[in-house]
Amino acid sequence: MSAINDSMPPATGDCGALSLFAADGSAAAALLDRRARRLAAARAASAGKPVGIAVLCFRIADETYAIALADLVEVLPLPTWTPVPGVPRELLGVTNVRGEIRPVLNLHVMLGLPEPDLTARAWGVFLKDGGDGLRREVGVRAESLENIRHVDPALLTGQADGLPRHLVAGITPETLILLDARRILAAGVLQDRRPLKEPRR
Amino acid sequence: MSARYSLWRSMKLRHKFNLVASLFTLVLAGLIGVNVVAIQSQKASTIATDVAGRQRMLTQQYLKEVMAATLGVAPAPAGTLDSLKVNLAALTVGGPVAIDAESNDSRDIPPAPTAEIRARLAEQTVLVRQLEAAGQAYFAMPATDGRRNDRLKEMLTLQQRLAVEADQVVRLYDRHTEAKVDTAIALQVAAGLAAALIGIAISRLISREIADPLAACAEAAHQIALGNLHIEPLPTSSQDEVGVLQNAFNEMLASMREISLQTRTVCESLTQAVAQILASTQEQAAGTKQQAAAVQQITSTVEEISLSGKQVAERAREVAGTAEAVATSGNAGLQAVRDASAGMEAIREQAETVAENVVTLSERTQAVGEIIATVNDIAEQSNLVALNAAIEAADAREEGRRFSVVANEIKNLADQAKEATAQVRAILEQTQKGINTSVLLTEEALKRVEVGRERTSVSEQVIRQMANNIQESLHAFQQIVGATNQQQIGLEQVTQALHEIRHASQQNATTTAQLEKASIELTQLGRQLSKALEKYRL
Repeated sequence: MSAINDSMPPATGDCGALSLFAADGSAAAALLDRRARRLAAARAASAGKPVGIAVLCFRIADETYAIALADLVEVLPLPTWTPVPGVPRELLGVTNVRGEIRPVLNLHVMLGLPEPDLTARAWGVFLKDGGDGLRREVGVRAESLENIRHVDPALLTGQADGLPRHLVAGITPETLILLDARRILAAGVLQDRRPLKEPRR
Repeated sequence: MSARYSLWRSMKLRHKFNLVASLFTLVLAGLIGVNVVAIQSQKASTIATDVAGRQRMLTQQYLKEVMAATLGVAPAPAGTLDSLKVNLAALTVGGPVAIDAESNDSRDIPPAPTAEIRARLAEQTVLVRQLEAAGQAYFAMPATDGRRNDRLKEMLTLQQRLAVEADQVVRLYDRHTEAKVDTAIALQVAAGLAAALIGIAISRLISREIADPLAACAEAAHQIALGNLHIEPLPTSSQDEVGVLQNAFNEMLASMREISLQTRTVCESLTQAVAQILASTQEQAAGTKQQAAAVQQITSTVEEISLSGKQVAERAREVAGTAEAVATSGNAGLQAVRDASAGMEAIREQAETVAENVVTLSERTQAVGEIIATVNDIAEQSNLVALNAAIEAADAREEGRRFSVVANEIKNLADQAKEATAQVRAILEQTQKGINTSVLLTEEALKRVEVGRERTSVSEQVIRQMANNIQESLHAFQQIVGATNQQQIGLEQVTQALHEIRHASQQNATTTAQLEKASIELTQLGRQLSKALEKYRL
């Protein structure tokens, strides 16, 4: 009886969480120290001028791909999409963005990669096409979003083996695969369609 | 012959004797008849002999009459010679003859039996005629004639000769009669001998027919008397009384044999039965002894039981006292267990309070986790906003360059917030683990308390039951004390009854010994009977 009593301290609210920091004070100190260093590093990085073009990195099937920021409209969470019957598998479906129906491409199929789990979180990266003056904002599905980097076009190498040649613009020395937005938009699944409606914007 | 034999065989002995007697009577009658005939013929020949003898006397009488006539005394004789001639004729050819002159009695005589007699009679007839002639001649001469003397002399000579002849005839008759008598005697002797022989033969036959079977019967009876029943049955020789006797004897033999067999069988059965009786009696005697011993043992055992019963009563009283003490202790134990149970209940309540507190803590931790999730969500959205801002800045080209720096800062902040939420989440996970451990420990404590409470309640039940049992045992021991007292009384009665049984058993033993003795005597009697019966050989 007394042993159980001893082993069970009386419940007093958030004592457990507090005791975690109380028991290990050095962890809190290390955390604060790390935060201070990071703040200092951000200042230093912003001081230098970035070289090359800015690209948005995202992950598809454990590979990091990138598209130039200049070709993008926006990024949004892609919680749901509606499959369209009777179209090739390259078109994942359509999704509603602020009352506007936008097509979403399936980059996994286009790149010849295994498809992710349907219940996993997905993000939509929407491309802009300023060629004909109409806004045809087409999305591609990404498994997760990463940071924004700057890529020097002079350092891009040629085509890598095993990748669809017509979609890739180049590969950086850090094995970042830069995709060409115009070539994606030129995919066959989007060509034999009626022109999309005029955006209501 | 066989028919006669069978007739003879089938005749009764009485009839046989009658038949034999009749046969001998017939033989005697025959002999008597023969004798009568012989005597009759003897009588006739005697008359003839007498008549023949009288011829001499008649011749002499004739001569006397002649003399008397000569002398003139009497007339000349006439009748004498006639009767002489009549007699002669009768003698020769047979016929009646006067025996007495006065009575004129006459008898028939037989003719001359032999030729010799007949010849003599013929010669006598001749002589008679000469005499008659001489007489006539004599009387025809005058009295003075000289020759008369001659004639007289002649007549005398003739008379002499006639007398001689008559004597001769008489002698012949006598001889004839004698011969006939001899013949008759010889016949008689022969008939007597024959009769004697037949008698002997019949005697032998009868003796063989009666005496032999009787002797056989006697021998068989002797054998039976000696005990030999194994003899052959007697042959039935005839249908008469002897045969009846033989049949009866055979029946008697068969009956005796059967009776003897039955008797022997019965005797054997009797012997076996007696042996069984003896064995049973001996078993009974042994059983009676065992019974007596068992009764003795039972008596001593009952006495021991009685003794131990007293001890049991004493012990039961002691145990009853002890049980009362135990019942008091049991009540104290029950009180202690109830206190322990109350303590357990308090512990359980406290543990439940702890569990509730832990659950509350867990809920709060979960709320913190939800808040962290919200912060994380905000961080992600900030990141997204930063990315979109960067895109917009890129769209603005050179004008958006500084904006892109701000966007980058925002993104960094969002990243830091995300990192912080990840750390908070790790801490929360650890907290949740600790809470889970506490929940587990509390549940364990509750379980142990429950187990302790169950044990305490079991102990309470057990002690209560024990107290009840002790109470019941107390009652039972009191009942045992009462029952043991009753048992003592019953055991005394049993002891009394056992003494009576022992007495009866001794009497039974005596009776059985007498019975055994009687059985042994009976066995001896059976053996004697068997020995006596062994005399009869079957």
